Amino acid sequence: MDNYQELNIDQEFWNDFIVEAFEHIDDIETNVISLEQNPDDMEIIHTMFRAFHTIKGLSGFVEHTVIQNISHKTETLMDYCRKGELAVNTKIVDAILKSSDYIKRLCEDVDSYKDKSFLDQIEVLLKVLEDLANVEEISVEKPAPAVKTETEQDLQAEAPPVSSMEADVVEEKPSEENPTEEESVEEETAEEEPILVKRDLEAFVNEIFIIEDEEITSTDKAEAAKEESAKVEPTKTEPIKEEPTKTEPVEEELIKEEEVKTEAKVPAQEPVKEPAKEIIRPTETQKVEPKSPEVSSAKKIVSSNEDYMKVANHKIDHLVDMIGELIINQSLIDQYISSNYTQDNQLIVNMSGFLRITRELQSLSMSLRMVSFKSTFQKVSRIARDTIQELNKDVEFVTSGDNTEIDRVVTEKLLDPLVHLIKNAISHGVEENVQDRITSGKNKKAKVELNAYNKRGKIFIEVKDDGRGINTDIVYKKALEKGLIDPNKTYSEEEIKEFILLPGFSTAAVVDNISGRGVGMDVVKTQILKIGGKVNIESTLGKGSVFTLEVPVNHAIMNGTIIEMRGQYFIIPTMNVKEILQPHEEQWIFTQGKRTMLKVREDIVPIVPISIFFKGEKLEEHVPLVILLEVDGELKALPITNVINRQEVVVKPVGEEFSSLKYISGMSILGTGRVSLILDIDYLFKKEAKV
Amino acid sequence: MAITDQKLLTFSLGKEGYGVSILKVKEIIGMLEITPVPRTPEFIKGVINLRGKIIPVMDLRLKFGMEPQEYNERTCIIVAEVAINGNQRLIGVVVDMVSEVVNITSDQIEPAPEYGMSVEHNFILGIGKLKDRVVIIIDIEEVFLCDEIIKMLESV
Repeated sequence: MDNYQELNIDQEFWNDFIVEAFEHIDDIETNVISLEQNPDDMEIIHTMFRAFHTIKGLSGFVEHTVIQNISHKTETLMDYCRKGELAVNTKIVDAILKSSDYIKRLCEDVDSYKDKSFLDQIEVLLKVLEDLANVEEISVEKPAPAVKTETEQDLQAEAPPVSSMEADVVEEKPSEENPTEEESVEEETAEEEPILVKRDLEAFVNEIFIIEDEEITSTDKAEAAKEESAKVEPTKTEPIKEEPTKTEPVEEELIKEEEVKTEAKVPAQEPVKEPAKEIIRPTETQKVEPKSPEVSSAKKIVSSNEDYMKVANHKIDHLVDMIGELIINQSLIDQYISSNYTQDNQLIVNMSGFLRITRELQSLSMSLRMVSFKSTFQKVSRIARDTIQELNKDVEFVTSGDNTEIDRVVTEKLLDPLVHLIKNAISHGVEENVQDRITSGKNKKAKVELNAYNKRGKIFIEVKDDGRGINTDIVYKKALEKGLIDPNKTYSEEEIKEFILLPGFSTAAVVDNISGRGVGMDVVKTQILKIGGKVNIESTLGKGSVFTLEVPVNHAIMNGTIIEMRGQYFIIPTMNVKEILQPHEEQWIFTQGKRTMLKVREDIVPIVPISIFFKGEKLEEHVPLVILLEVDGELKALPITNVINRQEVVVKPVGEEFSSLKYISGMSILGTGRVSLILDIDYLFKKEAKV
Repeated sequence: MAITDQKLLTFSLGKEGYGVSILKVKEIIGMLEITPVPRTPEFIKGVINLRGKIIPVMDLRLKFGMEPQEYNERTCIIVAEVAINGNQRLIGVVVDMVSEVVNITSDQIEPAPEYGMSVEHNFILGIGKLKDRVVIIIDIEEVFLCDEIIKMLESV
């Protein structure tokens, strides 16, 4: 594989392959992190083994030999782990992660297999995988003498046991072993099965007798279940019980039994409920009797499979749009009816029934976009792991609440801030020196947590570390040095902590000396503000810090106050509206002949210059209303002509052609069908928001 | 865009006849309420709600430096598809009146003269000689992605 061979990838299946492969890669990534924490968890090892096995099969189908090779070798390694012949260690976890990374890259960039240096990396990985499988074989812990004396060649012959298992489906008795040469031949054909079978899922599931209790997500697992059933049945489970005491010197049989043992573990869960109907069943009864318990459970698998359907995001977005439009149209009709047909009771009753349905429809459509934090957390976990390894720190990374649901659009926006925060927590939060932790009476192993939860209709995401906390003295000095704050003002501890969110404030320079690692915390803040959220910092010196992100569940819906300026409607996020008042003439403060500030009780509030929106225009002589806006405790006054309404509005992003208009953060369609601009309040508070 | 046999949607601005390739046109709608977007070039009239989609609208008269005309029942918005930074976007183009869809063959099309046109040269794909009249064939994408818009896109 020094030079790449032109692969003849089947385009038609390639896209399907990518989707499927990514799903398994995601699975692998999640599992591998938990595997590292519980290296003995057979369940995880099984799942991962199957994932690699499926990728191997699928890649064979699309004829991508590079991916096939990687997944094959990884699968082999996993197989040893699965059989308990190898103990999972960091090296193995690293190798698995690398495999999944490489496969990912090969999937993302179809042509990446042509890259020589990448191929070299793959070559190195393949070697590592082989070495891992070989070296550790010698130090096998299992007291199986036959295994210990096995030569390397024997091992490799046994390497693809799954393919032999697949072959077993057609076998009648387990003692009838296929010669090893045949196995490799059959491997090729057998691996194509998952896809072929996929075409006819339902018919296929009907053949399943044995049920895996775990969540079955793909057909190949069902496939595995089928194989398991076929395998276990003829052996009648007795050999399983005998196995530990048996010291059969015949290699093949021993291996066989070990497989049976591991495979049987899952199906064995079912008979607990139905002891009368053992899983023992002749292979021929593949036509299912409708009322056997296995069948009903098999149906369960079908339903859990069919409960999900993949739908393209843009379709959902379109659906949500159309329903939004429906609601607008409906409110137009509704308004017309209530002003013109007040006498027609039947019409009014029908209309209100209609309203109820559409409202339900709307909330349903919004819920379609809700996703859990799982994939976000998984990506963050991976980065956390890498960061910990890179910095060589002793840190435990824990996540909780990954089933919290949130709008997909919001999760996408949250990923970068979370990655920043996690990296910061690990590199700056956690003490550089373990000794520092010990002297301050903490656990040697630091802990960084990522928690998500739902409270008061908002989503909270905490990034928590038990490190050294924020030293406010240093932060203050640094902020002063950089000229970010007013030297004459005294700031509270809380305010000082917020300084690290200021643009131009590098945390790296303050808290430690690892230069280049300081990611702008202001980026975190800006991102979160953009989705209508907040960042809170709690920190105790020497104890640790908690960064809490508070974000709305649904980015697409916001409570907005609709105001009128110059005959035009604008929307202001209601959370930024502090007060609406009618200013008296004596409250105005003039500078250079212009109304620039307003005295509200004890506060002097600067006026937002109207020329931000209307170029070159000046404030009228008479300002009937002023809306007080608040961002982070700061106030600004916006002169307006009228307040129209306060309502939930559906936020739509600003089109690319208008993205340079900083004063708008989004657009929305009001009940009248009219488009209205949503003002970017944060921008109005920024210094650069000039005329 | 090479000029070959094609279908053109013809429309008028005052006395001038224009044509755009039908392939770029998604639909033609009557006048809708336009929400002005402040701080944009004058010819950008604002945004409209096209069945739940918010799309920008430009006034072709203003774009071509012609006298503005009050919108009436014949005023139309041609909804066209353009690529902005590689993304397909819909835009609305306000014209005085939409005429008809005509077939035009390449031998009916002459290259645009270098001067003497009210419209900037690079918008024009050619001059189409129809039976009874002459239309200026314009590239709607070029018209929209003019200097002003590009400046707006770049100043992000």
